[in-house]
Amino acid sequence: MNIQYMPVVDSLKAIVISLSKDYKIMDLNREAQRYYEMNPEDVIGKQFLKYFIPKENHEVIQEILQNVVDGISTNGYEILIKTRNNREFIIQWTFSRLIDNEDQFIGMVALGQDITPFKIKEKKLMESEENYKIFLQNFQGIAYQAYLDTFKPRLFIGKVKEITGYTPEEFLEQKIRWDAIIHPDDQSKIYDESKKLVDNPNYVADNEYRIYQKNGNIKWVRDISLKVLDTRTKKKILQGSVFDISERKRIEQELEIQKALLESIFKAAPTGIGRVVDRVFTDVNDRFCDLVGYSREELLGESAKMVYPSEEDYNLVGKKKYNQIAKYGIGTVETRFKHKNGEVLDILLSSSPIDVDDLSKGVTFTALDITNRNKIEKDLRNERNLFKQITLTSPAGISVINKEGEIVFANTQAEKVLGLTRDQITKRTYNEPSWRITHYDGSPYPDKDLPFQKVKNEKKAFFDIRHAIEHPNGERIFLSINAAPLLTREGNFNGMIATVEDITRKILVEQKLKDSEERYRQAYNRVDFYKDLFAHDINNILHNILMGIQLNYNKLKELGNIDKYKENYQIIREQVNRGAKLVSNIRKISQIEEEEIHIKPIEIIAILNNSITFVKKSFKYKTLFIKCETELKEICINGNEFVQEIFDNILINAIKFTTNTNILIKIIISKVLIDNKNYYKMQFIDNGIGIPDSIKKKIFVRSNHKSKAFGGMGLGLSLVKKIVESYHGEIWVEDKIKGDSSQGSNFIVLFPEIE
Amino acid sequence: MFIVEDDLTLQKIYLEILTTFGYEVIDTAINGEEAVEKFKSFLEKPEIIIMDYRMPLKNGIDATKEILKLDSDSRIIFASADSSIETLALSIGAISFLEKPFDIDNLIDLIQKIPQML
Repeated sequence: MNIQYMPVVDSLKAIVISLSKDYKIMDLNREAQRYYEMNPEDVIGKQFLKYFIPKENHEVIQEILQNVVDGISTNGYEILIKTRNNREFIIQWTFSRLIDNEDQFIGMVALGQDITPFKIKEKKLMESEENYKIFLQNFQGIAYQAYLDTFKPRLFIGKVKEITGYTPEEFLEQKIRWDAIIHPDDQSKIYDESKKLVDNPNYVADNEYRIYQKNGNIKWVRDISLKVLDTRTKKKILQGSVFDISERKRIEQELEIQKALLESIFKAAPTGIGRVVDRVFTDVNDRFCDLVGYSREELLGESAKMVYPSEEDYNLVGKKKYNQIAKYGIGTVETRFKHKNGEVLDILLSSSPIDVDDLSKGVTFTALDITNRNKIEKDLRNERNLFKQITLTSPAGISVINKEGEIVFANTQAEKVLGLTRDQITKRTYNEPSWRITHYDGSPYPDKDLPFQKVKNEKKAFFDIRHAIEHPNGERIFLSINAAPLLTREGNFNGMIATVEDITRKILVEQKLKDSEERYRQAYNRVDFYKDLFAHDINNILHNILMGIQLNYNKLKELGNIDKYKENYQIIREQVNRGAKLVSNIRKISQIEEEEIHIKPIEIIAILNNSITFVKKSFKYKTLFIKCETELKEICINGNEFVQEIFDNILINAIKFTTNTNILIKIIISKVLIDNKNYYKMQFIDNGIGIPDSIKKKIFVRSNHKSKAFGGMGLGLSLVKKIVESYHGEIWVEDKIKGDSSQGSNFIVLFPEIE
Repeated sequence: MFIVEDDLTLQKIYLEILTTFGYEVIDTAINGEEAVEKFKSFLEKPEIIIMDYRMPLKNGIDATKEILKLDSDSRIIFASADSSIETLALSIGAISFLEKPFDIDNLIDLIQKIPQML
């Protein structure tokens, strides 16, 4: 390099190296020395490539140098160099031809420009652009800018389409306005916020609201915006970002629901629920408070020990439960709680830690009162035992049949009734042909009528289903079966339980009884027929006698020869009447005994008068004095047409059983109160032969053995007693003069007053 | 008078009583069937019929029904030992019922009262 240019070259802020045609270093300026940290004497005359170009670039630079030698123009070439002190620079090399005054090529000048700062800047810019690209690609929201005065958008980037369904251009060109897609319910809130943004210098709006997507779906977004100054245009703009928070909202809503659910379970669960930390209550629900009788305030902060009946129970639960929690993550124990009122309860306690690895966060628990369940279980055990005892001791055979119709249980008595061992029975089905099931008369028994089928089809109990079976020894057995369904909880047929009774003997006895009843009925009908025939024909005979004797008597009367026959005539007439009365009484007694007696209110004073008239007429030849004393003008009793039989019979007896010529009968009627009940009392007082005490009661009883003295009373008084009793009344006889039965009788009849 | 009675002895007694008391007995029958047939043949209907109940071939109730059908003005006195048919007899149109045994006076009194009962 010509010396006269050196000061200029040295002052340049570039590396300048002159090269020979064969690339040897001819000279270098100060910048070359500074950058490469080498002295000129160390490198002059040596190969340029070796000292100034990294090995990996040799080939390219050599080619460039050759092009320069060949006169072909070249561009700059950037090379990263590393100094001896490991400093790095990016040098842009350009090469040019050196020619002398005769225009002869004499060498080359290598000009190296340190472009490291520029490159760093460029790199940073590139990196920044790259980051921006990556940011934009991955930005999950919408970034926007709008003029504060008009709210006209000037920037809309990010996931505009994904969040709104609209393109950024649609917003930028104001084909759709942002405020137009805000949910109507949220619009006023956002409007207020926008106003605050405009009015307040440092206000940052942070809002969550709903927008309508282009397809009509609703999205929740979070919109953060603030007011900024555009330094370039000096205009105030609104800048913000919008994020899709629909998923977060959904999760929040779900969480809300979950929370509400948990709270409602906590509140409404029929089980005591709570949380303990180190076995100290930190939360309990109302049911738990009810369970132990303490209020929430009394429980919170207190040791769980307070609800246990003893320290032993408390410790035992702790030991068992926390062992289980350690092993299985959950612990369940049956324990006892003591209610505040002292009552001890059976409790099923289940606990689960909030964090299995950190029990200090607490343990949630549920406490279920199983006192009743335990009692029911105990009762069930007792009932099972009872059932076992019943089946063992029951006089009835008991069998259980499953839903498939297989006999699965039979008690000892069932073995006897069915003539098989339990093992043999339980191998059979309900309709096994070997049972040889028939009706009692041997005719086929339809399967559908068997107890199992009936119970299965109608799901209800049936009683006294009767059919016959055959024992293995050929003996026919008549069974009576009561059967009830066994139902599942859902009410489905699950089998049948049956009691089986051998009623063979009973049936045979019943049959004999039936035969006997039939014979009795026939005999009774015959007797009834004879009775009727006898009564009718006897009356006819008596009628003929009466008519005949009256005819003769009348003829004798015409002949004027009557006196000596009069008494005989009266005797015959009386005996005819007596016979007729006997027949009539037999008929009436039969009627009272065989038929239902209908009673109704009737007046009896008139009937008594009829009766008096009747007997006076019947005993015309006797001197009768019948007197009735009463203040009652009308007496109503519950009776019927047989009332007159009562009066006729009592009066006739008084007339018949006397030795007095003058027959005196006094009838006294009064009202009496006996055991708080009103009665009409009728006394028939006569002056007859009286009735000895020994037979006072017997005269009202019909007997096959007639008393000689009173045989003539026939059926009269027993009929009277029957009639009076059918009216719920009473009849008895007393002496007319107490203690002297020979002075006459006093027949007393009580009729209940109609209430 | 027309006497319907299967007991011939009683028939004879009725006949004697009634003629003694001045009544004319135009005929007698020994069962219901004969009574109906004879009644049909009467040119002059009897004023009163004394009717028994239990008789062979046709009982007094059926005979009464048929006679009353032929002549609803017929006056029939039922005379029976069977008091259970009293209500039935009166309900079908018999004018009165006498339960055997009864006195001659009862029969005559009744016959005398019949014109007043109509």
